[in-house]
Amino acid sequence: MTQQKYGLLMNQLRRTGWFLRTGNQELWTRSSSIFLESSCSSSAGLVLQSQSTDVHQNLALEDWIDAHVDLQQRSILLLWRNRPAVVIGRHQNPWSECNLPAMRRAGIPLARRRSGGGTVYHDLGNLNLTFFASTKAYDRQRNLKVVTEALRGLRPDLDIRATERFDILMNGCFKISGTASRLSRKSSYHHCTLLHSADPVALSTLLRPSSPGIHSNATPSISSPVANLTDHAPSLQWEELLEALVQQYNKEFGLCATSILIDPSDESLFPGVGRMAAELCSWEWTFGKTPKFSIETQLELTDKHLDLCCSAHLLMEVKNGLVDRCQLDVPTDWLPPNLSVQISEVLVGERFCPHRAAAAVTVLLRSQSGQLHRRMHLLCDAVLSVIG
Amino acid sequence: MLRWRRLLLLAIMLTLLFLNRCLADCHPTSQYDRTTLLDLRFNSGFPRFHDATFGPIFGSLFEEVLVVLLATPGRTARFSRRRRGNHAGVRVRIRSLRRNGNAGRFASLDVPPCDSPPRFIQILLHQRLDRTYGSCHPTRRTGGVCPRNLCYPVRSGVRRSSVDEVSQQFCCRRSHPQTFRYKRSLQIPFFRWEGDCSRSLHTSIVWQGPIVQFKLSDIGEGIMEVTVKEWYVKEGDKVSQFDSICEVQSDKASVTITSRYDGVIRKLYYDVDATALVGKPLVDIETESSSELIQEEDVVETPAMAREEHTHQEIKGHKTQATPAVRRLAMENNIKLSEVVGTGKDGRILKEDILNFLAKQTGAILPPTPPFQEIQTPCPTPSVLAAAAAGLVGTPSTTKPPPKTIRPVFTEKDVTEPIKGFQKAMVKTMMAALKIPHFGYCDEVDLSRLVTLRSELRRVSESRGVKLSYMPFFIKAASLGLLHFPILNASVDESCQNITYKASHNIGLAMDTSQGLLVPNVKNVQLLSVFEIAQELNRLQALGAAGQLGATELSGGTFTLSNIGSIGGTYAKPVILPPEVAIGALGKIQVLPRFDASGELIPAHIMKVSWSADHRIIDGATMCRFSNLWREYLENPACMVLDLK
Repeated sequence: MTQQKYGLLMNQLRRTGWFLRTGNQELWTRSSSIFLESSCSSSAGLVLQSQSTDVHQNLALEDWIDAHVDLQQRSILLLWRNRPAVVIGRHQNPWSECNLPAMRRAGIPLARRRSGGGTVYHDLGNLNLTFFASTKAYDRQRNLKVVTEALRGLRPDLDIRATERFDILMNGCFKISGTASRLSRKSSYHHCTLLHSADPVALSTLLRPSSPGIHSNATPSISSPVANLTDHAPSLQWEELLEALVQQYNKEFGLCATSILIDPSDESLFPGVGRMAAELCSWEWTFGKTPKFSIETQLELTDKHLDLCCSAHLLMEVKNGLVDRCQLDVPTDWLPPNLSVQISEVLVGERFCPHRAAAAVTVLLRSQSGQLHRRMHLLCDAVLSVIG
Repeated sequence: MLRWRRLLLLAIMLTLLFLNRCLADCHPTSQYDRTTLLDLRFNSGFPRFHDATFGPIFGSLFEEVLVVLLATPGRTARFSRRRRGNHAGVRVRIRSLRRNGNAGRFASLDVPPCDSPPRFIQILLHQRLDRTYGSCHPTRRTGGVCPRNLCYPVRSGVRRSSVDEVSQQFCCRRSHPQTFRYKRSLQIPFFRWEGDCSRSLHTSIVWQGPIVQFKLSDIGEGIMEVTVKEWYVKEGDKVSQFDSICEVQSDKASVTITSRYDGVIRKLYYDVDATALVGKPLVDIETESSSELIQEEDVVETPAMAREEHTHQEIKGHKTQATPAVRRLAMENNIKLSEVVGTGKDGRILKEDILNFLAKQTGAILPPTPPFQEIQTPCPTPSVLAAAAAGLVGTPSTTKPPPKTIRPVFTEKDVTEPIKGFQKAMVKTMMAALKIPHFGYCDEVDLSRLVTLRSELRRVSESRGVKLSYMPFFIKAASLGLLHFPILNASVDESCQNITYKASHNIGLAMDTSQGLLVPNVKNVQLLSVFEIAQELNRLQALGAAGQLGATELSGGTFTLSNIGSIGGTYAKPVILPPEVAIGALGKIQVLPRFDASGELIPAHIMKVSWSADHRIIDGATMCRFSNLWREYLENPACMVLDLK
């Protein structure tokens, strides 16, 4: 029944889609007024629920709303969740925040969001809430109050409190929600996670650094003990939680919006959203936007044929995700210096990415044979393992 | 003798011509005669304009001199004629000149310390300037309403142009052909100047706007300090209102700071990762205009100049958003902003919107321009062109001449960038490959039977979750061939002293991945079944698509097949990848007419193959025999079954 209702609303939304061609703001004015006329006619607010579980699509939807919707007279709550994914903050270093090799093996995507804050793990047991408002109406504690009040209403016995750092703690020590936000000239959004029944093992294994010895001014994540809501309230149902949050949002902001299902890949509703998602997917955004950093480490090398061991020193500077400088000090009895210089040379200018670096060094390896080839191969492998 | 007289006559004629030309060129029809020096004098540190300022010289005796008459408000402006050479030259360059509504024009100029005047002087140019130069509004120009028509003779190649254009011209020092920005503002006359350049003409006008300290505004929640995370601009960059200046972060909030002014960034107060304080300066912006023109927020539009022919209903108080530069453009073209549909963020009106609006009105992307106007490569939108083509030009168009054919000026430049990373490695490998004496051998293969076989096996394979292409057959057939010709699966040392016969058949295949063309290899093909090869190819393709091919997959190849035909082409000339000694390139599979055994014409699936081998250790016969064997396996796939292990 509710599904029918949503379908109806979606049709209305679609019918108003042509407004987008004349002015993007219109859609939201008209569509929301349609919803409001049917229920009440006080103030303008919307609750949207994304049908997509693709992290890039959902982040692109946030950007689209932020960029195209007039939020001066209106506030919007977007509810969404993702298939397993790791999301880093705008100014973070993915190599020091998450275990990229493990993520590649498991096929878990990495996304860089446009808001600040630290790294979070998403899966279908985690709810994301995005509060859109004008920059003037931007108030994170008030938004968090919606969540805490809703949870208190659902389970009065749980001790749920928001902290000064805009985290939400359960029973005083377990973090169940993390926050990040983005402010533009006129619009703003604040999003937070809410761990309902996320996979704690994946969370802890994936949020580990992939490369050792990174020196950077990138925003570090502060790890905290986390818990799922279902750990302490096993009977808490997903639907129940959503309903309570929507109700509390309406109550807090004096609205009477019902939740509308939307598809963030729908170009007719959100023209240009696909392009935004593609940009968020790109290597240039996800890795290339990493603040410049350096990586300094020792490489242990063992030539099994001669039972010879030595250690090399590697120093790399990475700017915009590209190797800017590479210094490889290898004992000269192990490898002639010109060969280690050659490895450094082909890495400079290449992406700090094991795939591209591997492609470059393997081409280089073709020009060597015998013992030198073997040693160079070992060295390259060691360097590539650092790249993560 | 006759010759000398002729020469003399010629010389005299040339001289006369020359002088005549000079006089004609440099004699304006205005109140100024050619010997008038329009100079700039200073009085107790503040400039008093006695007449005008003028431009730089460009080398030779006959120079183009820009003369811009600057008139200050009545009390400070006095006009006096001075004979040239009376005053020391001052090098000044025009930076900008802009209107302040209908009241007058703003000008800013910079004078170097030769006469020790203040560095930045702002002068309000009242209507005087308008009166002097008239206006460039099309209505006025065509209607001849110009109060005082200053039609200076313009020599070909010297254009009437706007002040901005001239300043640009000066910047470029005419070292290369000019491309003029489309801008219609003030027209200024050009003089041809004859005279003693050394004393009087070392002058140009530098206009510089006031420098504004752009302060970090309050970002709410009581935040007093933020960390600067990324600069989007650097010193010397030009910014427009609402352009992003930097990204700051505070307490998990990422904030984009946008410019409130149009101008040039003169100073950044913080490095990346420094802490910036709210209320303290973030950048210095040299604004293009006076502060009176700077609007902090969106403003309610004041109607532009009234135009009788406008019958559109005016939306009073309708909020339009546009930068001052756009407003000016609109005003100069008598366009009401309320009539323009903005395509920018929040419906903001962009320069393109004004140009498009103008194009729709006039039927061309450009307004009527002087004949010598050059245009930067215009990109008229298809709709505009279509409208123009369909004759859907603006209402007054019937009286206008058809739009002129615009010959675009090609402004793109060559780009040089260093060879780095993978490409650099490739250079090295290919230089090594070039030392190998290659020989080529080509043949065609009839794949008709393989096509049938594969279509049968594909279903089986897909039921096991593996996509089966032709490639596994090609690879397996090559491996079976290599068992008979191990010399093709070998490597030679650099000095060509030893051949190493490789035990493993690690067959590489060129693969178009998300990260470019890479050559991963299937290891130990001699041990694998066709299905296992297909499985491995599927895995490599998935890794390639995800950008996850590692050194393991990419190194250790002993023989290579390049499936270039999947992109196109029939024959190729593949280059051996050292230390390998042979490579094959496969063309596309085409259905072509061929004769069968009984002489009947049949459609056959034909693929061309091109081999390259290292002639130092491989002779043509070996390659040919290998190719025949490989072809045999593919033309009669049943044979493969016999030899499979």
